[in-house]
Amino acid sequence: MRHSFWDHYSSLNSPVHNIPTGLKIIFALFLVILLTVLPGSYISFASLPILILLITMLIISKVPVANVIKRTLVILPLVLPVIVLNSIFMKAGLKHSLILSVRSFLSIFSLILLVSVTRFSDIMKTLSSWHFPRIMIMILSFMYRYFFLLTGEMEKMVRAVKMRSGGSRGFTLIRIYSQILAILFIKSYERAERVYHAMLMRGYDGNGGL
Amino acid sequence: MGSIEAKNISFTYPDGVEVFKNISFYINHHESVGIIGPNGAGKTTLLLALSGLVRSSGEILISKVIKSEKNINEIRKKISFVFQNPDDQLFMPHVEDDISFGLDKLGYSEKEIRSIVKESLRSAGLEGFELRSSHHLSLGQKKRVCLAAAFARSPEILLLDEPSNELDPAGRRELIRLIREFAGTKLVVSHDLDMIAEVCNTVLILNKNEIVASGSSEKILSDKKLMERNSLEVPYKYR
Repeated sequence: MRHSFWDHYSSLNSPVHNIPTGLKIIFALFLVILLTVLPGSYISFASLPILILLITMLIISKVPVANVIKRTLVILPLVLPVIVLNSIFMKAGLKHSLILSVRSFLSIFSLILLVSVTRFSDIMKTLSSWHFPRIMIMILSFMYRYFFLLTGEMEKMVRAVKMRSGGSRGFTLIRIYSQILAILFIKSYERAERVYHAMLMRGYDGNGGL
Repeated sequence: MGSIEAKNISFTYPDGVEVFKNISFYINHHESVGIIGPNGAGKTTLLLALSGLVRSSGEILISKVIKSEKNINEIRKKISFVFQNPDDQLFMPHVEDDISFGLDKLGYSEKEIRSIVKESLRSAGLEGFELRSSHHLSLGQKKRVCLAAAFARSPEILLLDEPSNELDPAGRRELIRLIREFAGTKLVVSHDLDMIAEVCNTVLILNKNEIVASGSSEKILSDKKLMERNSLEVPYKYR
């Protein structure tokens, strides 16, 4: 089973893809920092040009715009409660909430654009060449590497449930899926143990010296 | 160099399940030994115990040195372990990172490491795979990368856990060729008895907590009654 939905479009060939990885990382981080520190009153002016710039880059890169926007919306479950609570309990809450939503949406958009036009391994290589702490690079690499494997295991279990659940619905199905999550946790733990064994056998001594 | 000696080693899981009890054997350097037995006989656990990844009782000597908590890192420098599932073993972003992992601890310089990576990939038939992501490789290629990583350490002892598992015939043949090329001591755990017959000159049968038989591959693997008693089959070579 192969998964590559994080950086599925990173192997396309376009002028945006061909920009050096370091420049792309700096640009994405610059936008995130800018969107974070810019006073609220400036956000309403700056957001539209930033959005146009990002969408233009997206179109040039040939990465489907709908795909990136859909993935950007994953922040909704995190932002929505803040918007609702802000609107209820704070003066000018709605305005603040909107500004916060714009900041979050554009920040995530720029980061998703970055991983859509850059191979994850290139990002890691560049961070490594910038002397980014090796332990952090290892953790990020592990997260990327094993996310696909765990997703694969989850898919296999879901398929098995579909084949054997006999069309169970409602509470029964919720119970089954919660058990699947528990099993996935145990499998992840066991895999972590085996990976650790493999690391030990190749000289890892647990002192951060990788 | 490269010998393995086990003296009365035992291992019991924390839940009380006894895997093996008072096992003793001696494996000479450059010997190629197959460990066979039914599922759950403790074959993999035995490899884990020999490499110090699980704590067993008794005494284990690797290259005549008694394995202990104090010298375990030194002992592991002599051993390469190829695990059953390559996804447990290939944890770095690129193939070259996986092969070079830990080589600095063996005292190699950056230049030497680059050359070792190149040479290991060449011998595994994976030239040009340096910058490939290991999770995008086929199972056969992943297994060969695991072997290349094991060879890169120039070990005295190679431990292999089900190396031919799930491989297609071509991948299996290639793997057997690579294993045969390794000149050091080999300990192979497998249910693929035809592969054991090709790769190993000695065989141990592990069953019901103990070694029930040991001897030359031909003698053990061709003994129909012995094999059937231990839920095994005589490989095609000896039928």
